[in-house]
Amino acid sequence: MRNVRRSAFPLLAALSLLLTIVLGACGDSTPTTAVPATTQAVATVPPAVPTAAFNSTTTAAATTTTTAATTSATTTVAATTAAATAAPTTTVAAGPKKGGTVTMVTSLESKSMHPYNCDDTYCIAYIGRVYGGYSGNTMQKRDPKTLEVIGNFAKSWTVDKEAKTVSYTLKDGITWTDGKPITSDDFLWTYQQATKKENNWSRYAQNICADPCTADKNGAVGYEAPDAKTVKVKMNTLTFDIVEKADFILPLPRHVWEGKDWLDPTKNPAIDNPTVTSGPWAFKEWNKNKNWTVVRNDKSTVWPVPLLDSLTVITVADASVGFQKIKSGEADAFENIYGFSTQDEAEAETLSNSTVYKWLPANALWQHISFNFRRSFEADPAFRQALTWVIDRQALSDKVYNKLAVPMYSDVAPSSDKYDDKAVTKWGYDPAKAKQILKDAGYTLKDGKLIDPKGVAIPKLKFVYSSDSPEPGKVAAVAQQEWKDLGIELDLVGVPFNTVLKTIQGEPFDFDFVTLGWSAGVNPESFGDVWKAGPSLNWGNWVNKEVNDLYATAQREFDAVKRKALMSQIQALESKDGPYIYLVAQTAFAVVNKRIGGVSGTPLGIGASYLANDYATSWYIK
Amino acid sequence: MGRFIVRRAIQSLLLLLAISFIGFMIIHLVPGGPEVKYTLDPRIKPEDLQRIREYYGLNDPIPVQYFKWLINAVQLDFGKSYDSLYPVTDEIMRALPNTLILISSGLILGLLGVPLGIYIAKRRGSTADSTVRVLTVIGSSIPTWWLGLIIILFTSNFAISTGIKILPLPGFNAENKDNLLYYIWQLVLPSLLIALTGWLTYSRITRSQVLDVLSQDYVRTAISKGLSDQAVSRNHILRNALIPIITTFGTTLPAFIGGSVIFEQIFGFPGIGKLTIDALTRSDYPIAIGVLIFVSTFSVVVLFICDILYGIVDPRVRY
Repeated sequence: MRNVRRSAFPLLAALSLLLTIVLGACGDSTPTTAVPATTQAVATVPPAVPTAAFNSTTTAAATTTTTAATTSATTTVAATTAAATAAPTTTVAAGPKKGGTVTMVTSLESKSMHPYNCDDTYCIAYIGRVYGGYSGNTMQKRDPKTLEVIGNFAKSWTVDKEAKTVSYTLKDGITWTDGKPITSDDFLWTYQQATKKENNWSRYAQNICADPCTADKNGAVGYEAPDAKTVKVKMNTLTFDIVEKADFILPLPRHVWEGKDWLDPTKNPAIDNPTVTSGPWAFKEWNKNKNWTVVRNDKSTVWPVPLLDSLTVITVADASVGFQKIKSGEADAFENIYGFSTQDEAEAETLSNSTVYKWLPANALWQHISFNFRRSFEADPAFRQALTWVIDRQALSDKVYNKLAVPMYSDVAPSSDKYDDKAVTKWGYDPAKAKQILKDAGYTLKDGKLIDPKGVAIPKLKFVYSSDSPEPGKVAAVAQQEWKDLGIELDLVGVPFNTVLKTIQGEPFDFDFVTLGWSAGVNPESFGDVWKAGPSLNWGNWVNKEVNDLYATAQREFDAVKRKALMSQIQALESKDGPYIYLVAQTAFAVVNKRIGGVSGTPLGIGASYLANDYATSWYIK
Repeated sequence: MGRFIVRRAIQSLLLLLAISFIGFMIIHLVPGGPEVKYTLDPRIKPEDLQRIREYYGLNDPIPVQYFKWLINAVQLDFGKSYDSLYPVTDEIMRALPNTLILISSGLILGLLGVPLGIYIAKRRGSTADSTVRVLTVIGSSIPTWWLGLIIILFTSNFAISTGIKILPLPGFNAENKDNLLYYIWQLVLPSLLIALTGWLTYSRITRSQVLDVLSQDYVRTAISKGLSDQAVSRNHILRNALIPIITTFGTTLPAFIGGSVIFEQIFGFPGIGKLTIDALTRSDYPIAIGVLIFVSTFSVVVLFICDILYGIVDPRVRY
C-alpha cells in the first residue's frame, strides 16, 4: 500500500501537468468578445471586357508586295496604342504614408530566382516583384480589375497580321535599379541566351518554333531589336493572343549578366542575389527556407514606387504555424496559393485582427473527373451521362471545398468573360434520372452489379486520385458511394501525384477514372491545345473533331464577339458530352492584417501574389 | 588494431557502394522526374518534357546513369540540384549546420540521461526512481513531435492572450537573422524535445547497466575496500556501464541526422531532413541521392568510431 501511494503521487502529478498542457492548447484563449474577422467578397465574374487592347483594321493602301493581284493588299495593321497604363508614380488616396514593413507567410518557398529556371508560382512571385514581370507578362500585362491587356514594359505595340509580327515599343525612360536604361538590346541578348540549347530552358518548345518548325506549331521564328526602343517578334502562327504569346522574354541586365555563367549560381551571384533589377521592389536578402526580403525601389520606372519600405516573406512549416503568426501579429498576410487549403479558410474567418478576401479568380483552379475513352463502356454516352447525374457539384463545393468553389460545366471557368451560362448543360443531382438513362440504354442490374446491353457485367473499375491533398480522396469517395447505387463498383487508388501521372500518361493507361485539376488561363481559348497534346495532357484520349476545329477557329478569331460565340459552342458541346465530369472551380482566398490599407480585390487577386499583377505596390500601413 | 581499421574501412566502402546502388535504383524507379512539375501546364510541349529528360541524362538506362554518377561521385562531384542549380554539396552544407545545431543541442542535453540513470540506479525503489520510471513510460508513449506542436499552440495562444511570450513561434523573421539570443530561444523547445528522447533512453539503459554492474563482486569489493562513492562510480561503475551507452549513442546520432525531418518541419529549421523531403517530393534526384550518401557515410563513420571507442573503454575488447 505504501508503494502504491508512493508511485501514485508522481503519476497523478504528471497526468495533471499533461492535462493542463492539453487544455491550455485546446482551449480558446481568445477574448470572448473577439470580433469575427471581416470578410470581403471581391469582384468575381468580370464584366465583358476586351481581351486585347488592339483593334485590327485593314487598309487598302499601296503595298510593297510584288506578287499577283490576287494576293491581299493589306500588309500592316493600324498602329494601336495600349490602354493607358499606370504612370510610374504613386497614385493613392489621400492619407497613406510611405513606410512600414509587411510580412507574408508561405509554406512553399521558391528554389531559385533565375527567371529562366522558374516554373512554379512561388518563384514567379519572387521574380515578379524584383523584375516587374515574368515570362508572358513583361511587355504587357492584364489590368487586374478590368482584365484588359495593358502595357507593362511596353507603351504600345503593333501587329502585322500578314507578317505575323508584333512590334513592341518600350516605355520612355525605363531604367534598371543602377540607373542604366532598359533597352531592346537587353531583351535581344536575353533571348539569345535563353534559347541556347545548353541553357536548358524548360519553356523552349513552348515559345520557340523549332526542331522542326512546322506550319501548325506555335512559337517565335524571329526576334529582333531594330532600335533601342523596339522589339520585333515574328511568330509562326497568327492567333488572337499573339501580343501575349510573343511576350515571352523577361529582360535581364546585359551589362551585369554578360560573361557570367547562365545557369550556375555559384559562378553568377546575380541569379539568386540580383542587385540590378527592374521591378518595384529591390532585392535585399534571401535566407533560404527562412525568409526573403525586398525593399522599396525608389527608382522604379516601369511600376509605381511602392509605399511600403519593405516586404518580407517567411517560410513556415505549415498552415497552422502560419495562422499562429498572423494571429499573433508576427505576420500580416498570406494567400491560399502559398500552401494553405480550403479547410484553413474557416479558421482564417475567426481571426479578429485580419480581413479575409475571397474571390473567384479569372484564372481559377478547377477540378474534374476524367473518363478513359479507351474503355468501351466509357465510350457510351449513356454510361457517362448516368455517372454525371449522380455527382452533386453543390454538395462537393459545400462539403469538400468548404463552400470555396462553384459548380463547373465545361473547360471554361464561370469567372471567365467567355463563360456562357446559357450554353452549358447544367447537370444537377438526380439519381433516378441516372438509373432511367441506363435502363433506356439497355443496362440492367443483377445482384447489385451493372450489366451492359450486351450482357457483360461492368467490372470493378479503378479510380485513381492523388493522395497529396485531401480533396481528391473525398471526391473519389463520393463517386464510389454514388456510383455503387448504379451498380458500379470502384476500387479507389490513392497514390502520390507523380504516380498518378505515370499511370495516366503512359501505357498501359491502367485507370478507368482519375480526378485532377487544371489551372484556367485568362484566355480559355488556349485550352484547346490540351485535346491535341496526346496522352501527356489528353490522358483520357478524348477525340472530338468538332471541338478541336472550334478551338482552332477561336484561336485565330480576332473579333472578341465572334470568338465568344465560338467558345459558347465549345461549352455547349463539352458540357453535354465532354471528356470530363466537370466538378467545381475553386474560390481563392487571402488573409490580410487590418493594419494594412490599399488592399483592393480584383478578379486576379489582391496583390499578395504575382497573379494580381499588383505586387502590393499600393499597400500601406494605416 | 591497424588491421581492424583497414578491414573496417574496406567493409565500409563496400557498404557505401551497395547503399548508393540500391538507393540510386529506388530513387530513379519511383515515378517522377524534373519534368513532372511542368506536366499539368497546358502550355508545355511534349518536346520540352523530352528535352528536359535528355538534358539530365534520364533517358539513359538506369545502370548507365548510375555508373556516370559513380564516376563523378568518386571525384566528390555529386551533381547539381535540378531546382536550385546549386551543387549538391553546397545544398547539403547549407542545410547541415541547421541540422547539427538542432540535433547537437538536443543530444548533448540528452546525455544528462546518463547521470540521471546512475542517480536512480543507486536509489532503486525510491520515490525518485519510481517517478523517473513513470515519466519514462509516459514520455515513451507520447510522440515528441506531437508534444512539440501542442506546446507551440499553447504558448502561442498564451502569448496572444497575455502578451507574455514563453516560447517563440517557429520561423525566422528577417530582423532576427543576426540575433543570437533569438536563435537560442528558437532552439529551446526543439532541443528539449530531442533531449527528452535522450533522457528516456539513456536513463533507462544506464539504470539497467548500473544495476547490473552494482551487483558485481568487484564493485562490492571496491566499496568494502573503502573507496569513495565517486571513485567507485568513476572507475568501476561508469566505465563498465558505458559500453551499451556508446552503442546507443552511436546508432542514435545518425538516426537523428537522417530522421530530423519532423523536428525541422515543425520548428522551421531548414536542415537535412527538410532538404530530403523537398528533394523527394520535387523529384530532385541529385539532392536525394546526395543526402542518402552523406547520411550513410556519416553513419558508417560514426559506427566505426564507436567500435574504436569500445577498444579504448573496454581493454578486454581486442580486434
